[in-house]
This record gives sequence, C-alpha cells and structure tokens, in this order.
Amino acid sequence: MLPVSLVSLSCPRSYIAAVQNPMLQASPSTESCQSHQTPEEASRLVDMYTLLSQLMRYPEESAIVTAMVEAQIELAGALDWQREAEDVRQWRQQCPDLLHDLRLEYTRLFITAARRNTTVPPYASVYLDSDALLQGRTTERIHDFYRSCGYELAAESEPADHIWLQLNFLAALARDANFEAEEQFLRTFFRPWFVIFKEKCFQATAHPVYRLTLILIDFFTKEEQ
Amino acid sequence: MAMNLTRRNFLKTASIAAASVPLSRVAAKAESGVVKKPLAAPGSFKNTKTVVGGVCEMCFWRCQLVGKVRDGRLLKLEGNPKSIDNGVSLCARGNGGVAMLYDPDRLKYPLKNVGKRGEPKWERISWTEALDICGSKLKAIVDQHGAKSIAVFPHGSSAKYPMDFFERTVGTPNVSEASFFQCRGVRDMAYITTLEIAPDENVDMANAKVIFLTGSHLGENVHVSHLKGYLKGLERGAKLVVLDPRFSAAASKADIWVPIKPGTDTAMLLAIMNYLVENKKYAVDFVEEYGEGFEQFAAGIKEWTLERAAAECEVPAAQIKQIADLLAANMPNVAIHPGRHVTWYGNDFQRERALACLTGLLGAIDVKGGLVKPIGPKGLKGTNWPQSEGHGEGNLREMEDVHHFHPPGTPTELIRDAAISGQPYPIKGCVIWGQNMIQTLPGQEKTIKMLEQMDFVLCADVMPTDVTMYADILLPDCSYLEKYDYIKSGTQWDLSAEHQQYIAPRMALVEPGFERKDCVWITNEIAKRMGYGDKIPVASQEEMMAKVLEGAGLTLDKIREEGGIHIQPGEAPYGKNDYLIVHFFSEDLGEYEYPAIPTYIPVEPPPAGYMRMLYGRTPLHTFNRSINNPWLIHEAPINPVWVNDKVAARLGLKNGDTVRLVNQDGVESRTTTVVKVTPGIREDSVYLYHGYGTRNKEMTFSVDKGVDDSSLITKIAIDPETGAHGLRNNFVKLVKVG
Amino acid sequence: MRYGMVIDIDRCVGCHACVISCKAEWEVPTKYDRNWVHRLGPAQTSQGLAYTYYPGLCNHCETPTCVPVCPVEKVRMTMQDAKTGETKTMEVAATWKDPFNGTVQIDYERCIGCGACATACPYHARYINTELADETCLGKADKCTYCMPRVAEGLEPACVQTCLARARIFGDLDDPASEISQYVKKGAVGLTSPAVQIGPNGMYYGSKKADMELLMTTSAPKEMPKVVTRRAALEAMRLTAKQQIKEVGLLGLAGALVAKSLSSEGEDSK
Repeated sequence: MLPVSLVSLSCPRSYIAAVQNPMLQASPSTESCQSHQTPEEASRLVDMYTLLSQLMRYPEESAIVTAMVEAQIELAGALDWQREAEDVRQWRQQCPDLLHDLRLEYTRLFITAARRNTTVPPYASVYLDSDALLQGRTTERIHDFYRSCGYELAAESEPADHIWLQLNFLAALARDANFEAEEQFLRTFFRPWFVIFKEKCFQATAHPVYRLTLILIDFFTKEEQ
Repeated sequence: MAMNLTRRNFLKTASIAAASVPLSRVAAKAESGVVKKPLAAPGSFKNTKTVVGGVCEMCFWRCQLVGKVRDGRLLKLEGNPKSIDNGVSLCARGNGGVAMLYDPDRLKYPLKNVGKRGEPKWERISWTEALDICGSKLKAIVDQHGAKSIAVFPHGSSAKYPMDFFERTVGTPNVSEASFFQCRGVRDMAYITTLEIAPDENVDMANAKVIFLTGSHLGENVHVSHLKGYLKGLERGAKLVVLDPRFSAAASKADIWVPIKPGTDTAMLLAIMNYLVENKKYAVDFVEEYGEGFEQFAAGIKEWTLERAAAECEVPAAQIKQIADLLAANMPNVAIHPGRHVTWYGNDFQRERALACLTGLLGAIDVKGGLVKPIGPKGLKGTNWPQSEGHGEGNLREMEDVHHFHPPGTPTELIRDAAISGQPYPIKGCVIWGQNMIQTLPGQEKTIKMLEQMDFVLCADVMPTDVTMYADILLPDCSYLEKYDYIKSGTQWDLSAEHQQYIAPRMALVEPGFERKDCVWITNEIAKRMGYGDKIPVASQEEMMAKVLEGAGLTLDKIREEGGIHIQPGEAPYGKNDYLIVHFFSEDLGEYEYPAIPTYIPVEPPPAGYMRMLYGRTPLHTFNRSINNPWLIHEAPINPVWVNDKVAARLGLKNGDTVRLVNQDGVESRTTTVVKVTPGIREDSVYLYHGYGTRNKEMTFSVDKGVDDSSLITKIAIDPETGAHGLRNNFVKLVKVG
Repeated sequence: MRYGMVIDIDRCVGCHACVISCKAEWEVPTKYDRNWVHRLGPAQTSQGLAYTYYPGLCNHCETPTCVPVCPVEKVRMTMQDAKTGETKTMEVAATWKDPFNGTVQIDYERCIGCGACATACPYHARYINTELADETCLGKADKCTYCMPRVAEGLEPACVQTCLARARIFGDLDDPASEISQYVKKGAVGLTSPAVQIGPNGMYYGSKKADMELLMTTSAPKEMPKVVTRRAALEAMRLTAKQQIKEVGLLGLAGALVAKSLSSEGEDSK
C-alpha cells in the first residue's frame, strides 16, 4: 500500500467545538460494535471523515483545495479505484484554475437552486422532512444529537444538518472512539438522507471531484455486514 | 473499484501516514442522548421562547408580530398581543413567513454571474470581492457618464436606504418605484391635486354608513387592520356598494354590486356627481366653504346624465341613481375608498380625481366614516443621506417636459426608453433592490433589452426572482425576520374607539444565517468604495433605528421591554384637519393643459374574439414576492383564469380545462393554467391572480406554475399626468391545450 | 362541557390564515390538512349569485363514526375533567370521545395507521400521516384536536386566534350564556343531510341565504362512507406482518376481532 500523506487540514476555527466539561472523561464504549478498532484505525477514520467534510465545504483557499484533491487521488488509489482517481487527475491537469472551477460547480450543485431534479441542497431536513425546508424537525434532532455527544456548533451560520457539519461531527466521534454513537448517528440520521442525496448528485453532476467525494462518503458511511 | 473491500478492512490494512487534524478534545456527556421519533405533535405554545418586535413584510401593510422560537429555530409567527393594529391576528401570508424564512431556494451568499445575463452561471464569492466589484463598477459609470447613468428599481423597506443613497448622495434622478408608477402613485397625485393630501387608504370604514369600493377586492386583497375596519363597518350596518366587472370577495358581501364595463368607472362617477349637483343632493355648505372652481366643475360635468353613463357603463340608470341617492342620504359619513393599486388603463388620474371630487362633494372628509387621517405619534424623525450638489441633474421628465403631476422619482418608461436608445444620455448602471421588474413592468422584452445593454447590473433580494437572472452581482438581503429597518406607527384601527397611538420598530426575530447582510451595511460598504464614505449617515441598522426613535424619546431596548410595541395615548382624529380644500376645478392642471375637471377618457374595447385581461390578488400571495412559499403554494398552487360561463359554453371550455393565453399582439403565455367557469364575471373579461408563472428555475416550488399575466401586457399605456402605467389594456384568447 | 365551533361566514373573508396557522402550530406536514378552506363560487343559487367559503375541520361529532371503527385493542383509560377534577374510566381503542369536553381525540402511541377512521369520516376530517410509519404502524391518524393542549393553558385554538375577522367562535355549547350558544340560537347549523346525521358540533352561520345555500349544497356530505372494519384491520395486519412486529395492540387484535364479530355482525356493512 502506498503511504498516503494527508496534509494537515487546519481549520482556522473548530466548527464543531467542544463543550467544555472537565468533570467528564471521554472513553471508548466497551459495547461498541467496532470495539476491535485499534487507535491507529480510529485515527485513520478521523482523517477520512475530516477530509470528506472538507471536500463538502465551499472551497475557500487554493492551497487547501490542492491538498484535498491530492489526498483524494491518493485515497482513491489506495482503495484501488483507479478510474475515479484517473478522472480527477485528468481534470486537475486540464483545468487552468482549480479553485474557480470547484467553486462554480459547488455553487451550482449546493448553493443556488435549479430545477427540482438537479437541486441537491446538502441538508438532511430537505430530504427527511416532507416540507423540504431548512431548519426542519430533522435539523433540530441532529443538533440535539450533537449536543448529547458533547458537541455544539461554534459560530456557525449554516443549519446544523449541513453534510459537512455531519461529517465533521463523525470525525469528532471517531476521535473520541465513540463508535456506538457513530453507528447510531449513521443509521438514524446520516444514511437515510445521504442515499437520496447521493443519487441526485450523481444525476446532477459529472464533475470527477464531487463524484469521487460522494463515492468516498458512501464507502466510509455505509452499513457493513 | 475493488470488490469486497470494506471500510473496516481498509482502515486495518492501509498504512496511511496522516497528520492529525486539530479537533478540540471533547468530554462526552454522561447520557447517551437517544433521540426517539416523537409521536405527539408538539405545539408552539410550549417549550418555546416568545421573541418580540417583529414587523411583517410578506406584504406592505406591516402587521406586528411575535415569534415562537425553539433553540434558535422559528416555529410560528403570531400577531403581537400588544398590537392595537392587527392584534393577535395574522393573515395566511403572515403565518406563512416561517416557510419563507427556511425556504432552501432563498439567496444565501453573494453570487457573481460568470455566464450570460439571463442565463446565469453563478459563482459564490466573498462579500469583499462582491462589494469591490459593485463599488468599482458603479463608480466607473458615474465617473464616465454622471450619476444620472444609474437607474434604481427599489421595492420594500430594505430598499429605502440604498435608494436614498443613490438618489440623494450619488444624485441620480432615475429612480422608479413600482409602488408609485405601477401601483398607487396615480391615486396619491390625483388626491393631492384635489384635496392637497395623499389619501393612503384612510377611509373610516368602521364608522361609515356607506362603503363605496371601486375595484377594491377587499377579502382577496388582505390587509389585516384594514379588513377589521371594513368588517366592523359592515357589522355596524354600513351599506356596501361595489363597482367591479367581477363578483369579487367584496362584491359577495355587497348590498349593491355593479358589474360595470371595464374602463368606464369615471363615467359613472361623473354621472353620480352630476345627479347630486343637479338635485342639490350634495354637501352644499361644505362645498361653499371649501370648494374651489365648483361652478366650472358643475358646468363641465353636465353632459353626464344618468342615461349617458348607463349606456357607456352598461349599468341600469336606475342603479346609478340608487347609489347616488344612497350616498346623499348618508353623507357625510360615507367612505369613498380611494383604492390602492389603481394603474388600470392609463386614464386613471381622471378616475382618482373623480373619486376625490366625489369625496369633497359629499363633505366626507375629516368626519366619521369619511376620509380621515389618523393622528399618529409625533417625534419620529428620519435620518437620511445628505443631498449632494447637483443631485437630480439629468431629469428625463423635466427634459421632455411631460408628466407634470408625477409621483416621486422618474416615470419608468422614460428610463427604459433612454436606456435602450442611449438618448438623451446613456444609462449604464442598474441597481435593483427587491423589485422583480420582470413581473412589475409591462413589456418584458423592453425590460430585458434595458438590462442587457447595461454595463453593470446589481441585484439585492431575498429570493431568486426572475429579474435576478440578469444580475452581474447578486446579493443576499435579510428578510424582515432577520433585520432592523422600519418603524411602523399608527393608531388603533377603529377611529371611534379609545384613542391610542403605537410605535413598533422592526426588530430581528432570528439571526440571518448564511452570509445574508442588512441593507445599511451593504449600502455603506458600497458607498465607501464609491468614494462617499464621509457622507454615511449611520454606521449600522441599529444606529439608524436609534436615531429615528430618539425624537420620540424611545430606544429599541425600552420598546423590547414593553413587549415590542410602544403604546401611548392618542387623539381623536375627526375635525382636526385645519386646512380643508377641494379643487373641483384645478387651475394647476389647466395650466399644464391637462383636463382641469375630472374627465372621462374611453378605453379601447377588446377586438372581436378577445377578452380584456384583468388581474388581482389572491389572499394567499403577495404577487410574485411570496410565490415560492411551499405552505402558500399548497393552498393556491395555480392561478385559474376566470371565464364567464356563457362564454365558456360558446368556446367549448369546461371547468378545469388546461389553457394557454394569447394576446392581441400574438404573444403566447409560456405556461398554462386551468379554466374556472363562473357566472361571476362579465363576458368581456377574464381574471387571473397576478404573480404566477415564475420563469426562474431557481424558485423550485413555483417555477412554471400558472401563467405570468404580466408577460401578456405588451401594449403599453401611460397615464399622461403621472407617467404611471395602465396595465389592463391587453386582451386575450384562451387556447385549449391537450 | 361540550366544545364546539361556529364559523360566521358573514365575517369570513376567505383569507386561509386559519389553515396556515394550524400547520405552523402543530408542525403538520404541508401536504396534510388538519383544517381547510374551500372557496365556493361565484355560482348561481336559488337566492342569487353567491361567493363564499367553507372553512372546515373535525366536527367532534356527537355520534362520531370514526371512534367505533378503530380496530386497536381497547385499554382502560382514566379521563379527568380539567375543571372539576372528576375522573371517569373507559375502555377505549386508539380514538375516543372525551366524556368531559366532548372532543374526539387520538392516542398516537397506539394508533396503527390502518386508515379505518379516516375512511369512516363523512367530512374527510382525518388523514393518515404516512411519514410516521415504522415497524409497528403504517402511519398515524391525525386531525383537529380543538387545540385542547392550548385550551388547557388558557389559550384560544390557533385558528381562532389568528382569524382577523373573528369569524371562528369557539366555546361551550352546554353553556347557554356562551357566545357560541347565541349563534346556535341565531340559527347556526351543522353540515348535515338526510343521510348524514352524526351530530356535528362544528356549525355555520350566515345571514345571506345565497351563501348558506351554496355552502350546504356543495359542502354538506350527502352520503355516509362505506367502511369495512374487519377488512381494514386485516389489511393492516397483513401489511405490518411484513415488518417485524414485537408486541403491540395488534396481538390482541385477533382476540378483539373475535369478540367483535361475536357481538356485532352488522358493523361490517357500515
């Protein structure tokens, strides 16, 4: 296996910040279904989730974009997804301005709205609450779940159920080795809407970076036998 | 993709050297927080915080609100119990504000169009970048062509601060407010010319003995406290007279419904007045004391006998007489409603003049039931951008010497024509703030041409309306629930009840979210970049509010403590107007060679096979403004076209048939709607709710639903005195589809 | 206490605020309606042209047809009068008529979403919220509750509060001094017809004959819906058996069905 180096993806702020409570200690659940995971595996999972959450954010800086795309290619390679890795490589080679190109696609896919079948707002409530509004009941429940695990949104202006925040939260759970909560969150909140979101995105975009991102998210979050 | 590879295996076997990502170490709470799906509906009255200070802007009546908020999430809006205006009530749109707030289609971030105007390709950019572009582009246009080269199309309370900046400080005269030139400007100017006051809708219906409505479809047109007054008047026994080609919501409550031929209302008003004058059934003393030019007026309207009007209006002479007698028997306590949206045919100044004269003829000013200006709180002072030297230079209206009785701003058509032709000077910058000109203006092709020739188009809005497709930079404005920018004040809605006054400043009920910004911040940032930083009157929206409230000795905090509305004792309004005057014959008008007395100007009849296209409101929407709201769209998803049942039979149309509309110029509606067959409309007319048929795919709940009536207004009519449009002079055929 | 509501269609302007406020108050999914407004006309009646509105909601009937068709196993439930504290114990399925205030309520926990009650209502006042389906149910029945939780806190029902015309008069029909009782004296009527006489406590008043005629002819249900109790329950059992049922009232269903069929054969033909 090729070593994959993930450049430190430093977030200027911690978007999902800790609730300070020195009285309590984090401890891995002994009843976790993933309790066989070693610290190294857990740490890798943290990195995976963090990379994926960053990929689902609006691309702000060129340097980070370059690093993320490189990490994405190497990760795909490590998974032996050669075609997907090659698609991204090709795009990277031919595209004169990576940041601008990704921003355009991100805006089109996730920020503005378009006809119903190409609208893919990246918020769980749009898919799980029939009214398809933001800040729905699902948002409230997801936010409560973050809190119940000791996390709060820090100075965040997006609804709590934005996919990047959900992935960021999953990274935090992995860091805590709280795999029971991770599985519960995935089962109750993440998978039910991601499966719909992923399909719509595939119909809506041919961009190799976002297609690969979705497959990666799927790989790391889907239910395993 | 490798088969049989699971995450577990991958994490085990991959040797991924990774720097760790800094996430704050967390301490997990003891409880595991299992979230069950709740089965009982919660109810907004429990486990919520009540936030005060909301002032609605789903329409422009501006009811006072409170919000029920749970964990930063707005669950419900209700009328503020402290309100003496709407009280605890809200209309459907007011209640629907929650769905607007959380509409996923709403504008969220500044956007730059890297594609074509009209077929945008949006890129989210930073505020800094967006403002830099706006500032530098607009400055360049001003530097090259002068301030007059910027056209401003504002609408709503958000638009006042930027509009004032561009009009007063930058100095462009080319400002076109839809509420003036496509709505009520004609009314205001006609009443000012006649009675020297702008009437708003200040008829004391709650205390009137007769309520006289010309076209106002109260009930389908919903303004909460206005309806309260109307319904109270009816409850107290007021007789209701409604002139309308359609059996509207108001007609259905009327004692007398006049299915008047469209375009002929002025003839009927003149005949009523002539009858009253000839039979001395008017307020003789009042007219003697306060009337000017009455003899010339009386002589001038002599030709309008009951019979002549009956023929013109297709109304029995006996009915006109009946109405005139009813008004005379009950004067002066009669409410002659001035209307609100009056830009119908391009001859509307005359109709509004006639209404104002009729009000004066009946002495129905300043008395119970009549035209009465409520006495509101004093001391609220405006704070504004300074007027620069040379502001207003290049006034097109002055240069063409037309429309001498225009409302504030420059008539829209003059701006459009100048922009398209480049004469007498180029108009190269366009600032659109909250106005969807695609649906406010007739002649959509002209609007598009005007926008396409601009060097720079800036739009600021809450929703991605049709016009935003033409923006170069599109900025996300705060909705009325997320900002501080307007102070609603007034009195209790029943003028004969205990006299009170209220001051209700709009306060944010929730955080804006995303990167939406308020109009004060945005305008100031643009002003700085255009070189007007030293002219900024207030640094923030809160400062603006504080300055206005100062004059009344109030602060936002104080009012918040009072439950969001400041109430103080008021003053009885009757008999308070110390300067009554009625210009029956207007010398001012005569001087400019407009008709000096109210005059009937006939309108073109529909060509054979066509019907006049009339439009109006549904209580579920405020035209295109609220159209994308899923709660409201569910109640009123489409705008059915009302057709007379006999006409429908002749055309072979049945209720529910899908049709397209085609107008006299051969312009076809882009989308379809369904037929509503009813005896409640004249054979020569059809009726639709305005605001449907959205074109922009980004309004996902409403795109292509129903027909955009404004797309079929291709024949342009202009009211000569004001320069306002007339929007009901187009005719359509219905073409069955499928 | 017998709660009822009168809609004064003289006052009503058809603004639909009542519908939206109810949705907001109870977080009803947009596609469902706990209450509704139908716009009627303009149309000719024997009394002239009329254009009016049918604001509808559950009528909390005197003899509701929804309550007896619920197939869920009955349990003993003790109701308490909010005012007097008096209690009464009854055997109820997942829906019942409150003995103290006359309102018809639903137990969302036990409801299996079979839809029998919704079908049984001639006013179509109930709906099944299929979004709440899980392993134990097909969804949950729902309808207007006369905002009893709000009323318990001294508040008006949400629709009554938001009505700008004060056209919704809510109160105790058993209190002769109440405003609603005055409306009954004035001649407010429920939407009944020869075939549908289940004692609606929701009523309508209008002084214009044309309006009332249009309302009655378009909106009073003309026939009772056909409901087959046993079939509806068996349908529900068949469908839910596809998923895993642990222990729900359904297990008692067979027993309940047996009991029912022994005692009331005729029920099936309703």
